[in-house]
Amino acid sequence: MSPPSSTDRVVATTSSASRSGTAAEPVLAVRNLRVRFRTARGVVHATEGVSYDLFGGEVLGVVGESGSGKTVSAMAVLGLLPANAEVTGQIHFRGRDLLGLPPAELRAVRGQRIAMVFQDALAALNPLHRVGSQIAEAITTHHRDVTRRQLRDRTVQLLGDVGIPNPSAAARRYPHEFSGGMRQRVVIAMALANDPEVIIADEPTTALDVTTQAQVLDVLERMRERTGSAMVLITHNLGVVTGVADRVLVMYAGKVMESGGIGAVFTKPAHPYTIGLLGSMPRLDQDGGRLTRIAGQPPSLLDVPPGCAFHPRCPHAQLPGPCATDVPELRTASATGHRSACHFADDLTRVSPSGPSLEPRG
Amino acid sequence: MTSRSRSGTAFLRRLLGRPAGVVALVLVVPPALAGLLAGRIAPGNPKAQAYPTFRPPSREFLMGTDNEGRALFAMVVHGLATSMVTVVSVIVIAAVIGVAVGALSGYRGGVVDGVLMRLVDMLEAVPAFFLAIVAFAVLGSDQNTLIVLLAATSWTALARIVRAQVLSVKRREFVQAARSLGSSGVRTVIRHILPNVTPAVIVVLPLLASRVVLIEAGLAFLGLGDPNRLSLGYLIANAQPHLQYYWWMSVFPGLVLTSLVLGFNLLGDAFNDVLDRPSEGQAPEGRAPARRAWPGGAGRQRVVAAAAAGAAAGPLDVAAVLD
Repeated sequence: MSPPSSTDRVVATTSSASRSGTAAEPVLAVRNLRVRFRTARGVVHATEGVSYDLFGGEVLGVVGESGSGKTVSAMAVLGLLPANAEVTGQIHFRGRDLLGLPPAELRAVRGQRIAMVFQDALAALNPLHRVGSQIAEAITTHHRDVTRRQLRDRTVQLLGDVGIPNPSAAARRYPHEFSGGMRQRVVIAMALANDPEVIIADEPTTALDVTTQAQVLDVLERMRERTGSAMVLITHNLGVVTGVADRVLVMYAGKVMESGGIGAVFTKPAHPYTIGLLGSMPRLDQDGGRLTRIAGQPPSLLDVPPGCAFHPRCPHAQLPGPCATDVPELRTASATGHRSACHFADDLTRVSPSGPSLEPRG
Repeated sequence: MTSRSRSGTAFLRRLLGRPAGVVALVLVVPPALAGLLAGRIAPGNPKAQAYPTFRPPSREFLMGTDNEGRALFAMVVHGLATSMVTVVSVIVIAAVIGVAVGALSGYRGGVVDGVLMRLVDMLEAVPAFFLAIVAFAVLGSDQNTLIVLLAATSWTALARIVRAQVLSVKRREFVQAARSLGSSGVRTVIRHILPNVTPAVIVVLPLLASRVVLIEAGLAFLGLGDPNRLSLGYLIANAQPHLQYYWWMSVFPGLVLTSLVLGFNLLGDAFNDVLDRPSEGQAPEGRAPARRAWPGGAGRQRVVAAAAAGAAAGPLDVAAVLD
């Protein structure tokens, strides 16, 4: 890589000063985040008491099915939820609670210190503006004193960094003139324009071709490493998480089911839901028979089952018993050393000590 | 800036790529230009009774002379000037108010939206023509009064359209993406939402223009126009007693008025076609959809069928909004 240009420094100074926090202090600490939507059909419990820490420079994977509250909890961090959302809890970012922040201060955080990569790049780009001007806008929103020339240089440099060929010509094109993978690179360039401390990537590869997924993930990871940002990577693709994340958070029905280091969670899962997810993932490294599946459907968030939200679908549920009546707390399972919200986490890890595979069904 | 002019020529090229666009421009541009350049085209006092009366059209008097020995051509040109001044003023004022109110209403929603839209409902209930008659009775006939009145009753339709468009555009992901990058509400509206609303506004403006021309002429026809200004409506009214013998007195002002109004309406249609799909990720330079191009040879039947289908389900049926 070429040494940072003068533009680079102008644009990057504000965030780099506060960049290197101590290892012990999380950059982003979410505590007991509860998001509810009041709708005509009732109250939707989108997330119920989600807590997690994000440390500097690490990647936290957030995994779960559609409607498990992954995206909502990310949107809540940026304060981008619609007006009918009730958000409680705390979102500590660099010592401030983002939830209580006045709008102007929250805007200064958005895009500059916490940025978001959206899932559908075509939808996330304004069809009427040239790609270059949209990236430039991400910069001028926070830096009014940048000269036109600096802006253009920085824009072209960003486009080059994310691997778009002939970046200065690309900057003059419209979003529809790019392929899906290239568009997603543009969105990544926009998010990273101000060297944010935290990147929230909401299913950044879901809308892409499998062949381009890996490339885009690679670009995202390379850019993240260069800026030293921490990242929350939201996905339902376990393969994506395995390759990139340091730690993982498994969500179901708005609650955290299991969390811990990526290796620990995937080799010694301590929650039946995680086991089910892993069992339903095709693997090349294991000679397995049929893929297992998780029976049933995720619950409606209007009417979450009592007790453990997963119990109606859980092959290990003890019924009648605590599963249907008591909400399990997220606690460290003694056998594995990471946290799981299952009443029988300790028993589970004894059942399948070596691997993620449940007994294949059928 | 080059980008703007380039998309401008592309727009014009696409407009000229369809029959309605060409016909509309042919009908609108000459009278509009004549009106805007009235002082150059017909200098002097158009109402001067300087010529013999009732002269038929000739090389000397292009549109003949009237019962008072005035040249009709000069009067028609100055009548067009009145139309154009009224149209341009009303459209500018109505567009500014309509877009501002519509954007505020659609973007903020809630109580603001409710109050503004009820205000719009109330104003829509007032018929512009009769309001103008009453106002002229009280305040006297005056060009500026008419402009203010028409603007005050015209912005509501625009506000509704803009609001509806803002409501749909603001839900789109690029708006949320802009917010996620720290864009303020005002900036988001101006840079991301309004450009995506512009096509809907542009389509309505010619229809608004045709309505304004008709109301202005209609009031003058009834003798309620500004007495200091010539109007096509006044000329037509003045010609009425002489309709039987001196056809040119009615025909020329009538033709010009018809041409302007018809042209504006066709222009609205052509804009609608050209700007048909403003927000599907189409670039401003994108190709015009083939189905609306000039019908030629084997393509004709398909064009007719497509036109019928388009009429049945036009995406922007703005004519219905403007009474």
